[in-house]
Amino acid sequence: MSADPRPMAADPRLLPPDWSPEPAPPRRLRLLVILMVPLSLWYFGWLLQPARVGVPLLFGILVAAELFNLAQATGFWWTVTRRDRRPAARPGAARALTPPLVDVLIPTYDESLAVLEPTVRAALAMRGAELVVSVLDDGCRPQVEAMAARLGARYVAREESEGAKAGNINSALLSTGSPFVAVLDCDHVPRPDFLERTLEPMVDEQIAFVQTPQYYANSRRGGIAAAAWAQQALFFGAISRGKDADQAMFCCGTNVLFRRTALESVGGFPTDSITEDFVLSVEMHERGWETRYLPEVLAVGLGPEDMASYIGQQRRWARGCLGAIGRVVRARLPLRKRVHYLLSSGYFLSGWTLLAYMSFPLIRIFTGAQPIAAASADQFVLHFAPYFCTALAMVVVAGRGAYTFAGFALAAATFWVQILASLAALTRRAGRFVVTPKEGAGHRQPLAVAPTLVAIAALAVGSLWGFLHQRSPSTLNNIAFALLHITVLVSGARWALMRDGGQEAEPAAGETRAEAQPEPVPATPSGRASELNRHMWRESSEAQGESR
Amino acid sequence: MSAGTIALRRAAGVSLRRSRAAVREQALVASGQILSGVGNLLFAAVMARMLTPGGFAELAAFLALYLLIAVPSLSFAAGGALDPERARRRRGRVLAGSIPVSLAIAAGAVALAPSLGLSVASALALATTPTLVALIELDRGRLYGERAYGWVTGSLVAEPAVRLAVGTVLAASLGVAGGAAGVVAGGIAGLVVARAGRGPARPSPSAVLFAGQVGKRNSGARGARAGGPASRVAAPAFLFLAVVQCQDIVFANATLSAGAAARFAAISTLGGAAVFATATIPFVLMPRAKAGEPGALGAALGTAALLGGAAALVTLIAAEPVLTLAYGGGRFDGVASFLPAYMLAMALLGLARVLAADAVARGGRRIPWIALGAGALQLGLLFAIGDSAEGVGLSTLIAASALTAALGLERAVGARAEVPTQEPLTDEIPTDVIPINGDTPHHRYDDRPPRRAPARLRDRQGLQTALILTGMVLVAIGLRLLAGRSLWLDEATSWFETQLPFHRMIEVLRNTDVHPPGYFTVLWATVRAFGDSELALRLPSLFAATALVPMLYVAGRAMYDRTTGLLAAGFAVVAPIVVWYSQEARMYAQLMLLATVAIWALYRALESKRLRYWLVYALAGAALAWTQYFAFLPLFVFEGAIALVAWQESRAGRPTAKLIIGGVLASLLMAALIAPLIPFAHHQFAVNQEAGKGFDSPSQVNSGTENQVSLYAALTNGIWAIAGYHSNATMANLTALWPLLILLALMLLGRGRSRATALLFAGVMVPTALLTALSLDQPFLFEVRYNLTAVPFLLLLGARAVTTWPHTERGRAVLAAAAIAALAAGFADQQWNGTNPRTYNFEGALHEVAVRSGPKDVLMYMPHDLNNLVAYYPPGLKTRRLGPHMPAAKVPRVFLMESFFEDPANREAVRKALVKLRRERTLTRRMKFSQVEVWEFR
Repeated sequence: MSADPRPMAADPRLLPPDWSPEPAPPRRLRLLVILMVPLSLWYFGWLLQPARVGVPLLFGILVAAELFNLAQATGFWWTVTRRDRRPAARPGAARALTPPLVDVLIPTYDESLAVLEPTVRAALAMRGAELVVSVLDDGCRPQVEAMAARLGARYVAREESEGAKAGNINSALLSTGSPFVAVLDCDHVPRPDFLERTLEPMVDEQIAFVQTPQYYANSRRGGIAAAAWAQQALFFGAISRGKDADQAMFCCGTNVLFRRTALESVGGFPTDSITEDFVLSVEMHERGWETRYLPEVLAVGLGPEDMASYIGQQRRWARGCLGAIGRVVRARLPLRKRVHYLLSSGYFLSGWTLLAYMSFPLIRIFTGAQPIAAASADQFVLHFAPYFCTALAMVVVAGRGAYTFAGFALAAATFWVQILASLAALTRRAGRFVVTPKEGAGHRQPLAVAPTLVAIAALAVGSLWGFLHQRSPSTLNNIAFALLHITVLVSGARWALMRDGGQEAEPAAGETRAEAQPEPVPATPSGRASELNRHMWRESSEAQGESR
Repeated sequence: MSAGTIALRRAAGVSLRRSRAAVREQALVASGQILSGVGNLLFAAVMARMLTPGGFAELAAFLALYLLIAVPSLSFAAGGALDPERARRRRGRVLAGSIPVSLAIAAGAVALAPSLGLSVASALALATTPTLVALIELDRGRLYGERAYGWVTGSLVAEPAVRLAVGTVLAASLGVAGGAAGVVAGGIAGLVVARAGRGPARPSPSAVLFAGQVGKRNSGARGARAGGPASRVAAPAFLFLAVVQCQDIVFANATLSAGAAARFAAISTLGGAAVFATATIPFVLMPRAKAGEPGALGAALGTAALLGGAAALVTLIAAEPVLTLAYGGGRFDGVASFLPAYMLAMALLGLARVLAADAVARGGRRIPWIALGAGALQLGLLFAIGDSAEGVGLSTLIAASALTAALGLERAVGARAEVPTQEPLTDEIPTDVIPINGDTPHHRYDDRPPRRAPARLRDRQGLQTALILTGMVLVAIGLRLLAGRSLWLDEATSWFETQLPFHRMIEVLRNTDVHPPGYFTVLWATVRAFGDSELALRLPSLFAATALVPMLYVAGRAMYDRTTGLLAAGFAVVAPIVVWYSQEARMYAQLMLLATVAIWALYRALESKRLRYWLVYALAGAALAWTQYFAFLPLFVFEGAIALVAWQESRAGRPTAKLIIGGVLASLLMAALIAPLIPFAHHQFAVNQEAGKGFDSPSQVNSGTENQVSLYAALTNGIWAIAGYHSNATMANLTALWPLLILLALMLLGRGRSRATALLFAGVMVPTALLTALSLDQPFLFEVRYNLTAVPFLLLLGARAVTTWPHTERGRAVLAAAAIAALAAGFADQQWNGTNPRTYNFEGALHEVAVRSGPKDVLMYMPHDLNNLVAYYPPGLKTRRLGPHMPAAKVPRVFLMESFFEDPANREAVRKALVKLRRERTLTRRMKFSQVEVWEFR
């Protein structure tokens, strides 16, 4: 037999994922953590000596930044070395659930049909349950309605789009009744076994939801999506596994299967937060529900393809998570879970540390003031390098190499997003839910990274000024630090200056998305799903007609 | 036999005939050009003898300016070669453009002359050249295009013949102005012959055939269209190439002292003759290249390489005889050492012009920019290092190398870009126009060999690789020869030991030295074969450091890919520390070469499990151990790698029997070969320990780090390994850039790991760590020399990073260029900055002493280890170690030489001696050389 004659799919979501969240080698992780303890003590023991204090204010900022990073790093090490000792769910255990009725909710707002249709088609093709696929269109678009009708999905549209995504889902929950509810973002194409796999842990009545990874299929094309995926891969790899081991996994808004009773127990998705999934998880944990993370790519989505989209997404996450810190602190949660939540929220404060690190060389060049005194480069590197290198090694090992420099640079280049978000959270300015665009803008977006460009310019001017005025080794040392920051910032911001977000070109003409259609919906069991959907759709239409 | 097969064979026959014709044409015109070159050389030689050095320098400047004006006019030749009919039509316009230029020069002759280094008469003669050479080249170009090669040859020969005859006569009476007038008269003669020439003015049937097929094929990609656009590109391209060729002599004349300018003029004239010999090759190539004929470029490159390479080789073997022949004995002997390198630069320029012509004929639009870049690079280098004749020559060599490499790369990239349009040979066959044996024309045939293009592509890629590597090796040799310096202490020890009979040398090594005898055995044989000149003593190192270039390509290609291999080889060409140890009569260059061979063979053995690679690994490993004891450190890594790979393969469930058997056999063979060394080493260790020297001795190198294990020392060693040796101030500044290592660490995040990278990384890091650990007890071991096996591994890793980290071709090209530029800058600073603390100018100091001393004078020196140096350099000089007693009063002059200033014992002894000498004698002179100081007392 010849190989598969089908043309290569243009829609990357229809290709099998090239990432698998396998666990990192536990022995190596533990060895590194054991190593990290004395190395951290070695560095901080040296740094925190009174003799090290240069300019007290700068020293204080440095120590605060370093301690914050240490706390985050310690949390990371602690998380990634957690081991799940619970027995794995039995394959096929979902059959014990009678009947496996599932509502599949696909909220959408303004995404194109090219993005939405493969998701609906794949949702209808899911096995292992009797399902009703509902397209929750807050954009009230006739073409989406036509598409849903054509495919046999239920179409739900609200007259007002209050509560954004959370409100949309809550609204749909009122008009559905299956014991399980799967939520898929409109760009996340589920695998046919999505429900089979996520229903298995639901045998345990205490499980509120089963979360699966959000894989970015467009990361294959490189560019900003790949960098964003590098960040996601670390989270959905080692970090989520660790959280799951402490039953502290929180919902990530898509690729998740809920127990309806759990959702109802907390009154549905909270609509007063722009990270409704995060707050929802806190509330569920407060009520004693357990959550699970299933480390398998069961749905394939699209990451942000341009800088504005990425920044919008990060701004929403940062604002939402930082705004939720108070809620987490007040929550009646076991300490371990609370720490997990605080670690996740607190990550979005790291922009301040980057700002501090970038400022030090400039302050030194322009004023001569330094945070550390009475320390030679020899001493500093001797104490810092082992700590730093081992910490990096920890990221490499825990992330199994998935966390890249591009991911780091992208995060660093958007440091100001976290600063603005934390200021907004501090002043209690309300956040706004912004849908992350699923397709690239196709043009350069320098304004999206304007603060980054300002930082680069400041560092460059400072370096040049220092180089022209004093070429001592000490100044050159600070110029080197500035160059380090410039390189990282430029690496992270460069995609905003590229027309295509640094992504490789779309497939050649003729290789349209139509060629990449998923396999046709089989007659059973999803054929039955289609019937059910049509039935539900009629009911829904009638109900709407009545209401009108 | 099918019609298709017949057509294939016929086409192959046509192709072969075409290649032979191309070679014949090149040979005919090149012979005319060589005759012309010989005539010019003769003219220069005659003028050098007839004129004063200053006069000759003026004439050389005139000739350079003549050339500077003439060579841009080659764009007319280029245009004519591409479109002869157009050349015929443009004569009026050329005259209209060139006559005003001539008149302007004539009008400004008085003002311009001083700044050009000319007399007014010479400047007036120069004024004729814009018109004259434009017309000559226009007509010659037409003749090239018409393929009237006999007339071209005639014109080429007529010019120097008349120049020599008329110039000699006039110079005898008018001096420089007469010589210049001769040059103009020669030009007129060349023009007359070219003007009279007529070609068949019709392309041959084969040309039609190829023009119809291949030209059509190329037109879709980047084919040149009928001369117009091509000549527009040709003009600036050849103009900038001319600038690269000529601006060095203008610069030298304008900035150097009269003596230095004359010295450079001497080599420039010879070099000019060499490049002149290849000048016609591009134009003979152009018509064929425009038609896309296969083999034309090969014939042209071969001819250029043959002529240029021969010139370089002759001067490499017999520089002094060539100089004597050209200018008479003794006048310019000082330039003999760098004449071969300059000839190499000219040979490279010849190749570059061929590549440029080919690219222009094919429609390449980047050529002027490449040539302009090379010119700018050369100018920058001239200002940076062109403060001596050697520096000017080196600038040209570097620029010519960069230019040739860039054009080669352009050709490679262009060829790759053409691949989709370059159908297999079968598609080139004009089956739609040639009936075969009465058959009806075949537009398609099914029995053609499938997919020949990949094989052709491979062949072409192989040829390109060979050409690029040949160029790299030539440049590497040139740079290494240019980087010569005085012997220093350790090298003098090498010299002393190799002067002994072999058994005695081994005995001395066994009882006094700290190194194994492998390298010394090679050196002993070399000295017996080639004598004990500096060059002969350093020949093994020169060979090893040059062989490292292709060896790194081989290793890089095996471990990664061709591009990585080529880039690693390119790095090795200019890598400062590689060049440095190519000029040191010690074992370090061999160490780098053997380490590369060993790691390559090991990697191939691990991948293929073939016995031959295991054998090479064992032999290279044993040779490493016999070369330097610290080579055991990478050998530990290699052996560990074998065990680790066997374990990994076993764990993965793959068969390991061949791997284990091969590895064990290789290790046993290596151990058996190394075994005889163990008692030797043990004895050395015991003897040296007992004598309280050798293994415990402090470093003899002025490293500036005092060999203490510290971050600064570690960084310094790392910088030395990559960027070479620099002044202490530069090193302090460079080490201050250590935060960039944080960036490097961050950039390693998410990088894939391969067996090759892991092996190379371990080859760098493990020996470094072990050496650092050893240094905690023996600080003098903390020295980059003992870890030089890491250098080629670093070059390979660096090349890999450059070829994989950027995501775009442009990014890779920019990063590669930046890396090579950084290495070249490190190389230039290391060699010529003058503050490199490892440069000991004993040769200069002892030469000066020898010049100033008489038979009864005495030279005292400190430290005492300099005994071999003072024995090597000034033969017949009375020397003695500095001791408590000063020479008797009857000794007319006493010289005191000191070096290794950082040793306080030396300093104290010298201070006391100076006090005594000042009391007894008068200090008449104090001479400072690099790391050496000499006092002269009367």
